[in-house]
Amino acid sequence: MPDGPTNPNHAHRRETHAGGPPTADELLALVEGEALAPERAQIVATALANDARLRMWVEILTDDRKGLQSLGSADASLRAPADLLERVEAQVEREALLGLVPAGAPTADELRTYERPGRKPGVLASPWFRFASIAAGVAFAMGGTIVALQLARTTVPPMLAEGDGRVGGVLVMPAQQGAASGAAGVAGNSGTMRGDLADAAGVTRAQRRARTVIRVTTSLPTERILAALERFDGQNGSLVALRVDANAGVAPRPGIMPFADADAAREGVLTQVRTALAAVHALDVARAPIPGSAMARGGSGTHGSQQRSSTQHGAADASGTPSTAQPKGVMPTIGSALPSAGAVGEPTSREVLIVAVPSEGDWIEIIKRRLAIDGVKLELVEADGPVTVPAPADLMSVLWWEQPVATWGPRVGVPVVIERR
Amino acid sequence: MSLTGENHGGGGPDDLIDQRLVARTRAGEAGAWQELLARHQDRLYGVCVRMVGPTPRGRELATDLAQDAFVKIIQGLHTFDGQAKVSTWMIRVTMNVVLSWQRGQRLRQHASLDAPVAGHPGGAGGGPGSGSETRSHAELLPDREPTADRRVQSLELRATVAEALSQVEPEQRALLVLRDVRGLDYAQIAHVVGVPVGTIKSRLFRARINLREAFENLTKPSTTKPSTTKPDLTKPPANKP
Repeated sequence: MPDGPTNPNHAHRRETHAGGPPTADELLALVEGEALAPERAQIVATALANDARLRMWVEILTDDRKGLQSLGSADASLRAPADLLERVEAQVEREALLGLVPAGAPTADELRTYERPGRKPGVLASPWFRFASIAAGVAFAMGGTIVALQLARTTVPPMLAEGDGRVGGVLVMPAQQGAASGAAGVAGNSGTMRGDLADAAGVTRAQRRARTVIRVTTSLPTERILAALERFDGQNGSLVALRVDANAGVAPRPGIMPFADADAAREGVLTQVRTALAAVHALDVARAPIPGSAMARGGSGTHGSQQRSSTQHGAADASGTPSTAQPKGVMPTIGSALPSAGAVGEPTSREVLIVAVPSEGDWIEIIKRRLAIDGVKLELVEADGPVTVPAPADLMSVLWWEQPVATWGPRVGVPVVIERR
Repeated sequence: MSLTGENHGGGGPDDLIDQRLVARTRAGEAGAWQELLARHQDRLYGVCVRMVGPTPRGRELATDLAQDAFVKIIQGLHTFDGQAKVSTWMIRVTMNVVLSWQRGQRLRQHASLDAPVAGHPGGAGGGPGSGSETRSHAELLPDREPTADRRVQSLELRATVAEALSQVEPEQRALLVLRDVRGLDYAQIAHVVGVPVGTIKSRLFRARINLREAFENLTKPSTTKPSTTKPDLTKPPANKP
């Protein structure tokens, strides 16, 4: 029935209104348990006392409100899906790439979750810097060529003789070569470390884990996977994942992805290693030991890092054991280069991450969970024999002995191969 | 009173933290926006779930809606003017995403089903809402008595409230969720919905009545099919003694 003069309720409503009964807002306040104005409280109370229907409505609406509030209590335990923020990040990146970002909104780069090693624009803009860079590059290439030729004439290190580093088309990282070499580097002055490495079971596990390769076939940007790994790492305050672009015929291009926290904590060290890594990797050093904690501790930049990596690799060969010792208090992610993709296989694009994790615990499972994001296919590959990969310097093999001995523990490098087809 | 952790005091410590995170995000600090969203994602997701229903399908949908809302929050952080608390603003964005989606769903339905019932107080716009302070309850309250034996007392019946809530118009459901489920005050709700406080009260009162109607429809004896149409409160009182 329409609400109007023909509706008998209409007159009643207007009359009631004119008579000053409780307003809707006052009833709402009653339902919600709020106090009324003193001059109205008595009027409303009287109205409720005289009107059973009205009183019943107030009571029942109050009950309804309590029912709704109980839903709120239940919702307090409601948790958003664990991957919600990752999905948000992916969508932000997608929309940024598609140009769907509203004007003024931050770009995907501004919203990144990790720090990229950046060069200062002011320095880059300098023509002197460019000239110096070109000159340094030429000199470095020449020096690298000479060193490479010398390396080719020398005997193959025992470590390389064990295998060609290829298993089923997938290269595998031996257990923490860098750490092993670093262990040897300090073995002469640290008995404590021997004690750690005497954990045969740990070493065995490390060897087993070392042959575990996580392959990721994906259409996602590598950055997404890196971000996933970085979050995993960031939980433990560690710093670096090394990314190797292993496209066929292209020299690997390492990139360091430090985390903000660790970056802040170790800014000075990271700066040094950042400088060193490109050169170290380009040389693909796998050569004679240079005893060296002193060398490793001293110096900076490319040259020092080259020597450090040589030391580490040689020491690993000498030990003949993929012994592992790295700080375990912090959770380092170390990067280690793999040979170029020409030896790796057929994919149109392949990148390799080496993630160092403690050799005990469920870290590999954690990595897999971290990588279990939409669009990523995970494949676990077990190597069928001992394999080795020439390893240039990595961050933690440079730094690990700077950590307290008590924090040393077995670690293992897990290669994560990202293939894009 | 806050039931679910909403901070009602203006500029409380939680809001200060949020404001700092907003500033850090605007400054381009990596990870700041994640920290901001991580602080609120459960509550915002809860709003989405309650708006679309806590079924498995509803949770999936709520995840998608929350994702869209979070993206809009990130992309709209530069528009946040600080007039409201960050958390309130985030709820506003989230609620707008949910309501937009629900309006879109309604548009896909048959026009006859979508058309508001003439004179029905549960229309999307809420009718003449402002200035309700002087309105008599008789203009809003049904002339019948509520069904006394269907009070929300037992746990089971409270579960039915959730079902009844899903049958209320989305705009009214939003008010009930914000007020009772999330515990926002009127000023915050007014900011979220974008209407004056007086209008909020008027619409909220209607929403409560419509929730009651939906609840009683659901708890009617099974011989009667629960009404899915909007109750016409302009009818003569059915149960009036």
